[in-house]
Amino acid sequence: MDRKPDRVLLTFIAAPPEKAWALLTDPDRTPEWFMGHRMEVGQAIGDRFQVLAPGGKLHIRGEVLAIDPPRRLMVSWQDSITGLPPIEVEWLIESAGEATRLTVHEYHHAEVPEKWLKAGREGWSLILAVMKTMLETGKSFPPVKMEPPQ
Amino acid sequence: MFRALADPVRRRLLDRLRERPGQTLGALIAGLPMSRQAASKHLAMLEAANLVAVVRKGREKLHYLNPVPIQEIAARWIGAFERERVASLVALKQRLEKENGSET
Repeated sequence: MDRKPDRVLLTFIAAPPEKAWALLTDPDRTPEWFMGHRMEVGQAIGDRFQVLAPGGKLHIRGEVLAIDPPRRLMVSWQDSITGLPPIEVEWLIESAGEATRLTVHEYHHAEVPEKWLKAGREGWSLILAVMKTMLETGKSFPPVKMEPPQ
Repeated sequence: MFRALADPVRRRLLDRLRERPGQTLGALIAGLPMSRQAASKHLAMLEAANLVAVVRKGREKLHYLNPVPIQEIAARWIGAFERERVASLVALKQRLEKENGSET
């Protein structure tokens, strides 16, 4: 993408990119790192992208904008609670020596209020921390609940 | 990470990146009494601590505050329940210091 991201989150993981990709895109495993949410990603550009809340309710809708396993996934992302226009979310999985660099980019199309920026910082950080632990230890842990700000 | 955060100049740079994500080195130090060379050293330390993420766009090198390591520390020692209380203490501290006419 030519424009610059509005938000960047980054973690280094001691696991191969293929494993990170598998964890990111396997809908049955996403609830463990995505606070109980099930994330479903289509296989090709234009396919559906969606995130279901723990009760099964549609939380985020969108479509696949770019997909290049195991390196890059980009989706449009319309959530059901902020009332903001859709954003784009891009995951980059790159080899960095022995480790893997997992980056999340967000592209915004409107000014995002601080409370949602804060929720995003905390949410993404938690997501990346849990993914890192799962990939490095092979263990999983019960989903951490995080409520959206009021 | 704590060593990277220990320096007030580096904390100032992180504050500026939080206010305006995706700045070049030039934009980041505009108005600051700091040479490009000094700033570039500070940024390298912050990048090594994973507190700053760099995105390359064409010939530009853009800098972002990466909150992940800080949130990891917060999650380790501060439970979700205590976070609200910490936030209100921080707000109280800031208000008192403002009234006192001093800065952190």
